[in-house]
Amino acid sequence: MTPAAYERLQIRIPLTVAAAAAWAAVVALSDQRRLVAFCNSDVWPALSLDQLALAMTFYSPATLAGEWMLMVAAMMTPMLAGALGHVRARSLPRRRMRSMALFMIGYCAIWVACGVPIVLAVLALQLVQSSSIVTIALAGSLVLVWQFSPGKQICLNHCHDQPPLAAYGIRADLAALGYGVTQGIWCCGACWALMLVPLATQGGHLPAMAATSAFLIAERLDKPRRPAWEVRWPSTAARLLWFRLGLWRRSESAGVKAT
Amino acid sequence: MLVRQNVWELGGDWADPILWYARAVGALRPKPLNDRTSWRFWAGMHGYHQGLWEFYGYKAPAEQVPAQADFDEFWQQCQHGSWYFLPWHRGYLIGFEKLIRSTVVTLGGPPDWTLPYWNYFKPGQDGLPPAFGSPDWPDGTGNNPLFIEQRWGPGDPSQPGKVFVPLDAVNLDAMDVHEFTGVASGGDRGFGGIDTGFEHGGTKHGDIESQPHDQVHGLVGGEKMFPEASTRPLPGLMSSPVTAGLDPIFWLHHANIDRLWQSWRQSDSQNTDPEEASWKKGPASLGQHKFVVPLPDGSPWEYTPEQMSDFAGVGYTYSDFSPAGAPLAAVAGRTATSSGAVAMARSTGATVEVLGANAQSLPVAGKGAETSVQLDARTHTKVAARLAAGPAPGARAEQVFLNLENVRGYSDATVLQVYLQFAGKDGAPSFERQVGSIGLFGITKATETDTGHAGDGLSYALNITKPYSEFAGSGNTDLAKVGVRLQAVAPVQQSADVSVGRISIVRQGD
Repeated sequence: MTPAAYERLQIRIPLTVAAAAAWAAVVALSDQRRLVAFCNSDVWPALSLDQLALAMTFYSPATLAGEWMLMVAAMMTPMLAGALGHVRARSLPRRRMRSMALFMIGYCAIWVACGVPIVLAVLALQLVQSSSIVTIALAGSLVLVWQFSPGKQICLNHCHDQPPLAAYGIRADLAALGYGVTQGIWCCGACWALMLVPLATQGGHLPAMAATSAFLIAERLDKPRRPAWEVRWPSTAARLLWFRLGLWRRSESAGVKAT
Repeated sequence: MLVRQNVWELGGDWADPILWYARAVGALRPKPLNDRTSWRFWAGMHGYHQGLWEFYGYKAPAEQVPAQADFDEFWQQCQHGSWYFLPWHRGYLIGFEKLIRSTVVTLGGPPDWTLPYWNYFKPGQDGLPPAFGSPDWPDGTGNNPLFIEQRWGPGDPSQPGKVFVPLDAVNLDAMDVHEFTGVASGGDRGFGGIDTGFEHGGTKHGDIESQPHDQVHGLVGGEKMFPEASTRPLPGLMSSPVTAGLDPIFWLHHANIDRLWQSWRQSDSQNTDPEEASWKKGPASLGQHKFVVPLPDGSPWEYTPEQMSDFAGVGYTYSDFSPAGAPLAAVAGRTATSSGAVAMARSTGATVEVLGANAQSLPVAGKGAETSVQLDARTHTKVAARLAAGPAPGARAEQVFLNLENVRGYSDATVLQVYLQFAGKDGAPSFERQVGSIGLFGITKATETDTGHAGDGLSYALNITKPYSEFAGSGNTDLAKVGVRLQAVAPVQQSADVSVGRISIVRQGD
């Protein structure tokens, strides 16, 4: 293993454990989770204030926020290795944990705040019509437009930011917190549209969440590129898969020849 | 076996290999930009910038760049800030040498033509080889294709051909590093660079790339103000990765870097190339761009670092492997463990920790800039004790590095000499030590945010273990104020907006 690969692993292992724990919680609580049911409730297509008040008695905002952040933790944690590794590398040893914690606080605060408009966007889609097919078509169009926009690419490019970070005192704390906030903003910008997919999918929510998560990670493997309107897909991940499968086939055929 | 010779020792300024090189360059220059065997197509494979190419007259505004398929397959491939830096450039040189040789033969020249190398370290050879600095052919007629006007490095500005490499700005310290690849978090990056994917403009250059490769690019190319075109200085051809391949001296500089790679491998049995499959198979094994250049018939030739690592199989050698012209020690065998596998890199698993940092971003303009680094007393005490005690048997040696992080700006030609100043306290004397230099080759691309980069700039790591040991051992020094002085070899224009985001001192060890 190379020295740099070892360093990456020091960050990726705890993040993988955290993501796995979040996924386990998501799966374990899948029967009790309210967020997706809330987003797909029958009340939205014929909403009145009375019905909203009734709905809110069944769905506490704290529970919904908790479920939302569990979902975020499961899906986003694997993508934080670069930024957290940067915070760790640029911090004095005695401040490492504190700086990484501050980064996470800033990052999570943005995702909590973004949860409101994202959930409202799903509800708005429910409000404008009653057919699930039309909901899927509308959500799909929104997702595709954002996916191929320069705005999305700008956000993706900034997800790779590794700015200077102060080392001492309150400036170090603010730098770590601020880096978490800005990374949270760019991450929400890159992911908000695709997050509509699992939220709008009640039947098969978990597979939709897993597929979205895999897509987001694959997308992050691509290098930054010039922002433009263009059809984009996670080409690095696709080529990696193709190459690995190709190698597998080649080694198999070599084995056959050897025997 | 084809032998690449020292350009200064060919037997004359216009010895046959140089004359044939000039004739071939002259034949390839007029070819269309989108011809895979044209001079400019080969330069574009290293890097391309429409504005600079057009401003310097290497592309007409109406001229078409290669078709998208060729552009995507061949252009903008150069690997920097990556452990692929050396193997990618070796393949690029091999393909280029084949093209020039084939052209030489077509022109009636020798079939064994080889690319010379420029060893600026050898006494008396730090100047640009004369044939490259003369606007005329040896018979006095003009239009010598080896002459490039856009070389504005140190020397007489009225004579662009008289540029030279100031030897106090370059060194061969990288040759003393025994690992090919290193850490990315502020310690030693290794002789060949850190483990990355395909990096057309990575931000952390490896040791041999950081010194002398980067400096020689900027020192030869220099920069110049063109107020009618830009408020910022424009780079000489060699100064920027997007134009460097257009200058015929580029290839002789890289032949020297390629020679130093093999020299490094021969100089010590510990010095071996990576064994990881991701290095040997190249970035294609990571789902990324493959390494490919066209052959003289235009067909693509794909190569891997593993092929480039097999020096016996590349088909050429060098007339001399001594890095600076002094004899090499006896060649030792390759080190392997008893199982036959090459041992894991020594710095794998090493602890890398920040020991101190300056307070804020440092603008660099004019003659340079100064700042001070505040050390963390607790970590410094640990480092000082380890440096004084020396490494325990089997333990990693304690090392200290000066990091210049997030260096941004628009001056690829800038070379900064770096000095450390240790301030004495209670009447003890202060002392200053030069700890190396940095070349900002590639900084413009690393600063822009719209060209496939995050815009965080370049970062450098200089080994300062020796001067730090002196300082740590003295006792009467001020921990709150280790001075860092950056001294520009040529004045840095204010409009270039050069700045260092943070300067830190980092330890690496157990």
